[in-house]
Amino acid sequence: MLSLTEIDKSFGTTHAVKAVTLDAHPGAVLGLAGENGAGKSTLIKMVSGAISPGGGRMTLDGKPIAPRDTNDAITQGISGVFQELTLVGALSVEQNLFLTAAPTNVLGMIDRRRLRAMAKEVLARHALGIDPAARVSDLPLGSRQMIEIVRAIERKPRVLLLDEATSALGAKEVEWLAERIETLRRQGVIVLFISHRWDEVVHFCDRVAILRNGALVAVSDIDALTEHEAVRLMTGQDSVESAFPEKQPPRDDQLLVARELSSPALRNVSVELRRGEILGLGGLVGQGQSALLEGLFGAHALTSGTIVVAGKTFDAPSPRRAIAAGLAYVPQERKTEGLLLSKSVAVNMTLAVLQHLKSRFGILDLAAEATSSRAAIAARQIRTQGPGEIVANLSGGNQQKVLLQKWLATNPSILLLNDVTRGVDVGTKRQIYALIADLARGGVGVIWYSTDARELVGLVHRVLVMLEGAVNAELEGDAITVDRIVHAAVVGSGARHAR
Amino acid sequence: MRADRFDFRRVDFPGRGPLLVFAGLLLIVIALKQGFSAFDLRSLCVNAAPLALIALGQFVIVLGRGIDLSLGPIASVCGAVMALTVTDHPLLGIAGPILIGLAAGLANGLPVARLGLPPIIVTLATMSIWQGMALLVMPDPGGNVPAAYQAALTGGFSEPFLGVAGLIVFCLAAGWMLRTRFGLHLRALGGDEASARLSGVRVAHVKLGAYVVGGLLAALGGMYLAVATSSGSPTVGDSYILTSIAAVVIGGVPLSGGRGSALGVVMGALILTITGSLLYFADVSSFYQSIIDGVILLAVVGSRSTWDWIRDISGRTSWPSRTGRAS
Repeated sequence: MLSLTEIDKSFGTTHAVKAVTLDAHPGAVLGLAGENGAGKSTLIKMVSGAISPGGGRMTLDGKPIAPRDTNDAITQGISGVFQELTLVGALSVEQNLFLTAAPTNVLGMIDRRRLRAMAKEVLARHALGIDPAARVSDLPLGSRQMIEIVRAIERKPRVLLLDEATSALGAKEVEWLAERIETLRRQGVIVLFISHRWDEVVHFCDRVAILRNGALVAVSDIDALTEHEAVRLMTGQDSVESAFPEKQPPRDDQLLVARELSSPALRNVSVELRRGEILGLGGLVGQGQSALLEGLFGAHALTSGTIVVAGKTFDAPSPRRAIAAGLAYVPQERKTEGLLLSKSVAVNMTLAVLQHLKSRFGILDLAAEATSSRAAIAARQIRTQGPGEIVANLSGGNQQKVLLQKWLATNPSILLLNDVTRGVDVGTKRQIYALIADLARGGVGVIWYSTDARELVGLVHRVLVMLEGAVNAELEGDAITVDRIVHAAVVGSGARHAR
Repeated sequence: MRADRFDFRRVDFPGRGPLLVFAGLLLIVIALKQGFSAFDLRSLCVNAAPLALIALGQFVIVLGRGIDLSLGPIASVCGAVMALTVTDHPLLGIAGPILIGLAAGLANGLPVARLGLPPIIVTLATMSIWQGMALLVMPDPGGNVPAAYQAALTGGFSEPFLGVAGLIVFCLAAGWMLRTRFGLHLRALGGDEASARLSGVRVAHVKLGAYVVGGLLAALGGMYLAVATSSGSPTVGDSYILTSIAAVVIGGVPLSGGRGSALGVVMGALILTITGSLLYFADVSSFYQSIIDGVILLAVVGSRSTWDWIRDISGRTSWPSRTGRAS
């Protein structure tokens, strides 16, 4: 049993975790739920050794533990998968799997043949059809996350920590993880599971501990708690009306028409978007959804196809021209593609509109920048100390809002969103939903790729479910259900249309 | 598919690019000189060997996303100590410089690995310190290394075998080290330090190891110089401070670390050495050598991005009429 007693942590004036006392039992999965900033990640990072507790005690099977760092925790039988992926992109899958345990020959050189055999065996045992020689940076995010999970399990931990370990996984891959966890449960491993998706917490966990503002507010068997009660406990609010704003009908005028787009990642994809329409992209991870969004934005080289934006044919696309034509693209990897983490909130929010900022003799008017940033921070309800704060210090949800604001500042007429609510808490998600619905009401066309099928059901007018680079099914209106989306994500070929 | 046509792009191995560049320069020299004697081959290899050793040391450090400006002066000190002592105390003359090299590497590595100081600043400081130490040890060029050492290390003036064998041994030894777990961890460190740490790599140990190996190779480079010239000089290593970095880059190793090959680095050293002969045989003033070296460096660094750029714009201009190609 893993016991936490009065575990406490403060960062400066922020009391992140308040005297949490909690037990996790062998052969059971304990969920940690709560909004962003509730202290889940901080708590789990103290168990993992990534940060040291400010107070309290931890014991594992009766013995006190105090891991110095993550490596020390691993040797003490605590292994984890965290929001930030920790595979080395430049190395191969097999090198990553056995980075510290690579087999060597008599000369001390790594025995490539044995390494390959070991990696193949591990991947096969975990039902992963991934080439062990592939470079990790060439793999889609979902595969990387699965390798990360496999590596953590292969350390044969006593305690396995999963912190948003499903964030990049599609529906099928989540099932894959469920099988892995079932095996661990039988082996008597202690599993701690953090997810923002309540349905996953229900799916994976035996018990759930709910945190709010750093304090433990409830521990309950999962069956004894409804989603309504859970959300109420997490938010502290009684009104838990639908997270999704009401859908407004789109207008009739076409904003964007793309015909038969092809590339190595896309097969003859055609897309139409009307003013005020929210078009969803669904399907398993890595079926061409990102390529489609990037293709429309000019960031993914297309081999054929035509794109017409607002009546004008859009040839030789490039991000620069796309921005000029009124497109904005919010990428998936906010840390590497979207934000300058070491720069301030203000710099990040104005980066895409620098040419419109006031300047004198080429010197930017920083006071004006700060003023407009402050207004945006208030409008988007971004929790930050001010425009000057470094973005890296913000929580994930607030970083995402800064990223959205960066592109909204360009006043786009077409907004391309690449899974922007991944790893974002319920409260922030709701704000993002409301914001997007508002924009659509104002006439903006939105194309939204989401790995969360419920999100698509709640928000979009139409869904294109993609499979292997092609549109596998198109669902519209009441025909959009989670079941149909999940079904179309894995079954059949050839476009189908349901209304 | 063009299976019938030989496609050189398929014959790929690490270090291929620098090998081709060197081969091209060698052919030009042979054409200019209308021949290439055993003497020429021997001088090329023996002249390139110290740079190859020091550049391999630099390579190990760069691979882990570090840099070391002090390797040249470390080589100076080690060569000077050897030239001063080896005639009377052979054991001291060989073991002493090696120990100095290891200690110097440790002194560079500890502040970088343990205190997290930026390597360029730390080694800028130690560079200056070792330059001063070299002058204290040996104010003027001098000392002596018995001729027997030279015969054993480099062979006679028309015997290329030992010189060539030396370069091959360096390649093999460095290649061996990259294939060990240490080498893998070094590449992981250069690829992504935070991930390597979280994956269980003992980052501080690996960094420290890289600087120690770098110091050792710099010592060996300085000793090779002392043996090849039968004497020591307090400033002989200074020219290697930046050329060792240039050889690494010309050898195809990005300064951001994470990848590269020993063969490439040794080829980088040979390329920077053969440009001297090239100018000599082309009857051009040797003042042009550093200009040529600079142009080669720019060309190597620029070639990849230039190529990408050309591919990029050629891909764009034909859009969207081009139909899907098989891939």
